[in-house]
Amino acid sequence: MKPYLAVIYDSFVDAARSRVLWVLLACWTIVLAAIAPFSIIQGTTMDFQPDQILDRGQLVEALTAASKGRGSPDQRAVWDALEPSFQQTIVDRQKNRRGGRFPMGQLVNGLTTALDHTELYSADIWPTAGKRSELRELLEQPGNKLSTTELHTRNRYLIELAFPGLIRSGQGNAIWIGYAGIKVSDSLPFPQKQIRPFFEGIVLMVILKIGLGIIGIFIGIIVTSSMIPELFQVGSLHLLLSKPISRTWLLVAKFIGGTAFVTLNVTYLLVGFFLLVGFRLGFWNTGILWCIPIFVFVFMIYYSVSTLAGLVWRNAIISIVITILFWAFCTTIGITHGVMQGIVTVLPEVVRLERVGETMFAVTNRGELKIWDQGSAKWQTAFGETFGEESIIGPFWIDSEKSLYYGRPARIPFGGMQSEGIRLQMASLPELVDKNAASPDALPLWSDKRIDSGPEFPPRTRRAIAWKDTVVALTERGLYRLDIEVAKATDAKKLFSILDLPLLGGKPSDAYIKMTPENWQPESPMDFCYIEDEECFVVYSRGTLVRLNKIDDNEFEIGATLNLDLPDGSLALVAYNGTTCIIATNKSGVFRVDCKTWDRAIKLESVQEFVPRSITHSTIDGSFALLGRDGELWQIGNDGMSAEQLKLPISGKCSAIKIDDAGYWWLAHEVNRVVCWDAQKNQVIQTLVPNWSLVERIYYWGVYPLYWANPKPAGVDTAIQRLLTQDDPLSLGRETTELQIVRGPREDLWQPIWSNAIFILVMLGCSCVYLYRQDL
Amino acid sequence: MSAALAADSSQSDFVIQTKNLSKSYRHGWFGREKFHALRDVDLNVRRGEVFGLLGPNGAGKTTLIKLLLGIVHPSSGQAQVLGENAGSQHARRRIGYLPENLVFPRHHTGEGALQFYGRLSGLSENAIRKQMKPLLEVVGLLGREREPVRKYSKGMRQRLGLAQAMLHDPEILILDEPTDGLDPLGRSQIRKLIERLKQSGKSVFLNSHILQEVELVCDRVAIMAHGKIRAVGNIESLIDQHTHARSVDVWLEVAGDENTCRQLFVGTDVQTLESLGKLGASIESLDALHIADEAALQRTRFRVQLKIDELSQSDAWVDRIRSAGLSLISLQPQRLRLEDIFVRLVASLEADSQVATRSK
Repeated sequence: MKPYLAVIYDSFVDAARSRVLWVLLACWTIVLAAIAPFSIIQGTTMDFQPDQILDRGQLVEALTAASKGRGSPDQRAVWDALEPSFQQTIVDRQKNRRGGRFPMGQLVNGLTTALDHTELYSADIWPTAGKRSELRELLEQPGNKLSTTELHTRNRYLIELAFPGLIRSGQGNAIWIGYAGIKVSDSLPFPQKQIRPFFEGIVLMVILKIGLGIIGIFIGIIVTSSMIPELFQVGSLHLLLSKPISRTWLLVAKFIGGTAFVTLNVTYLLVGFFLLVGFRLGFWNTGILWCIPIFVFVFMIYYSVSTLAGLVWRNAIISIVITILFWAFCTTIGITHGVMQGIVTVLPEVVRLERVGETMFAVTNRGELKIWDQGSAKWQTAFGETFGEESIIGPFWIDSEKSLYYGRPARIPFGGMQSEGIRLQMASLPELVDKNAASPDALPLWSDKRIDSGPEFPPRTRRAIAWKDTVVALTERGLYRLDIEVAKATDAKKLFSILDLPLLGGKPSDAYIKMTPENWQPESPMDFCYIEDEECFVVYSRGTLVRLNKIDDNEFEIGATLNLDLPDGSLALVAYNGTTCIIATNKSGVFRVDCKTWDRAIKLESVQEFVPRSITHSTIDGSFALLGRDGELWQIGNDGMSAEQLKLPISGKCSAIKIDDAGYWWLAHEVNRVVCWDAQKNQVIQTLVPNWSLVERIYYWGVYPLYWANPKPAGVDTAIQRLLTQDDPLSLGRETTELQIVRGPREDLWQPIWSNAIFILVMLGCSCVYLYRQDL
Repeated sequence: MSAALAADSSQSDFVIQTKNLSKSYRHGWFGREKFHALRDVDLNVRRGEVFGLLGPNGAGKTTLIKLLLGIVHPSSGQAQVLGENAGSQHARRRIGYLPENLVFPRHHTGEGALQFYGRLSGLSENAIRKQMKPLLEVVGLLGREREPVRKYSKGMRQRLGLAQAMLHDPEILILDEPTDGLDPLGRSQIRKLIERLKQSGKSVFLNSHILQEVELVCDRVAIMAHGKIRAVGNIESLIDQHTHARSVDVWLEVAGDENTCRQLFVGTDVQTLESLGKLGASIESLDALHIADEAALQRTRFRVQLKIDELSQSDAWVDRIRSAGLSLISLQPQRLRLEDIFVRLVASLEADSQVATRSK
């Protein structure tokens, strides 16, 4: 061992004597010294803070009213004091009827601009302001005589008085970015407690990923690239090889020597960084220290390539060039794979299946509605293209109308991609159930000329189901029933989706009838189903099951409620088969509720905890099929007692399930393949396998094998993120409020570590074999 | 390695033993061309002897050394060093090696280099410290060991190389051009060092271009050319061997009448006949020599080179000279040196290979 330690030590001495080590350590010291004066300055401010805005929506509405000259005089005075650009934002927003929430940062910054206004106060407008002792003195002097702090304090109180109940009063704690004790930024638009996630999730990630992950690693490669070629200097190599040491271990020792050199540098930098962040910002994030081995590992990936190149060509420059080419290749393949994976395997993945007669419909991750075309063995995109990714509601087959109803986000062409709500669309497909009813123009089933555009779904629609020849939508304001006649009458124009302008849509209130009391507002996450026997809806609303009992078809009242005692934010899916109601949650397992007694929810102990994706039941035997996120499929007996995980006759994971009227299970798998399965006999009845497109062929035959065989240094980034934020970055994007939406394949966080480790070993093995066999 | 070779090695106490050792390299596109660097080399180096390996550039000397150290792998044949397979770690542990054109990593000092190579040889820190000072003294670097090697002259680097080769007290030293770059004083010191090593029972395998040096220090030599051993043995026996095998040149200096001389020295034995002028012409002061015979001073001096098969033939020539009335001033048979043997061997091979190339 001693000789090899001597080689490792010698590598260090080499670096130290050539001053490279010292130059680098000096550089790191300068970097650390440069960032050391940064700090977070806490203080009090009269500026508006996000946590002081009590009701954002109403505040924006009040400002909008003031902009039109409505509202109280003090509100109008505040409006006049606002900066014109902020006023314009409010006005534009109102003009464009943009939904969604007003950005908080923009709102508080906009309001803060009014604090500098010296002419805001007028005794006529704020007659009662002088009654407040803290204001009295400030109101006696004209605004331009007040100091900035006094002016801000006065205006702040006045604004609070103008919008009572909407803004929390008093000074706010604020934070600034400081450098050497001097504030170098405006107060940050988020509270102190959020700075850590911001810092760790964004600032630290950028510094570590780009600063160290790319620049640092390449400095390391450049510095160490000469080590192996130097080994082959004529006159020094033969002497080295004449010593009683093995060539393999000599190379490994050289490799370790280079790695140890980089480890020293990275350790110095990151420990310094850790201490700085700890002392200056108070965040003692040990994840930074864990990044040391991760970076050394990433360096080893590139260094193993540099070593082999150095061995073969015995030239430091060539070795660096080959390593950079390798990096570029990995990056290109990684990006190409990432993009193509999205296009080929993620977006076209079938997430819902619907079967009408003999026709199979599918909804993809991208939000496209597809119809299976047996003739060309292809999924045809139905009723126009989608723009970007979107969520689709439905589809529902409304038998009385012989039409397929679905909801699709309305888009403004040329006006950005912001969603304006969900538009109901009705596709007339009579030939699906009536063989004689052919399309007048012999239009294909998927022709976009078949659709009528209906009214928008009510705002904040979370779920919808088909119910008694119409559609019922569950929103954050209650249940709404679609009045089909009104919907058809309101807007019967044929539309192409690209011309789907908002003004063509009918008002939601006209076509949707609210079925629940005004005071009942379910909360997200939510889901619901209808229990026919009992003639009631069961709604899951943030941990509680609510029964809505029928008064008449247009009116339901709040019945019994059942608290499921779930952790906060639990998502759940509900389903009913005629006797039993099943509630599948993402955090606490699966429950059964007896709809007759409605007394308690009983947990199904036989079902392992997993995150459900969809639940359905068979109309033949009443059994439930519960599909999990990772493709696991459980069958729960019709009494809700027994449960077993099924072994499916498919390759890959199951992404959607539909049990048709004949009791056959249609299972979507491997992106867009579908299998029809007789679960009773365990027999495959039919398979729908679409032909590969050119892009799919390029991906499956070219990009994927290359990506698979190639090391993935960038894959280690997710591990870094995990270490820094203590979160599973892969789950972040997946934890939506929608259980049914699953985007992106779930990959093992540590898998890149293993695959890259194997790559390093293979490269080192090749280097050792090369060196061993070579006559030098 | 064959058991026979191992048994041989222990019986005869050879430190280096090779049998049919061959090495060929492939080159050109896809390695289609083959170059034979060594062909069937059989060599035995005895314990305690200084063995010199001679040969022109490209003869395969360095390849042979690399094979003995395991730096290259043999294509065929066997080689043993100290009873171990050549190139094995056990064997290398017992060898001290000084490569040709030695380059030390630039970051070392003399002391640091010795420490580094000492550690590579498996020596403990104590042993390195203990050995270092006497060795530095022996090679003449004491007091300069703290200087960086990049500031060393070529001679100093060579001395440091020798020191590192001896640091772990090896049983055999393989020295590739040890006096390369040294001044005459340095060469003399190295020669003395080699003699001391020999006296202390070490075996030395020396590869050198400088034939006089080899002649001075080596017990036995091998002459290599075109990858083959052409001659091997101690220097005296090599000379004898070559002296007996061929005719001997004898140089005569005679004085007498020019015509008589020219008549006498005719025939196949006579290689050259050179007049050196009148005997008196080379004498500056007759008084000084007290030579009264004026006639004698008018005689011409000749230098004659005879090629004879046996030395006994020279007696017959002396008789003939005397009977012809000529005076024999000197008679000197020409003695062969190592260089002559080397040149003869290599030159004849070069000629052979040229003929072979032409005939192809």
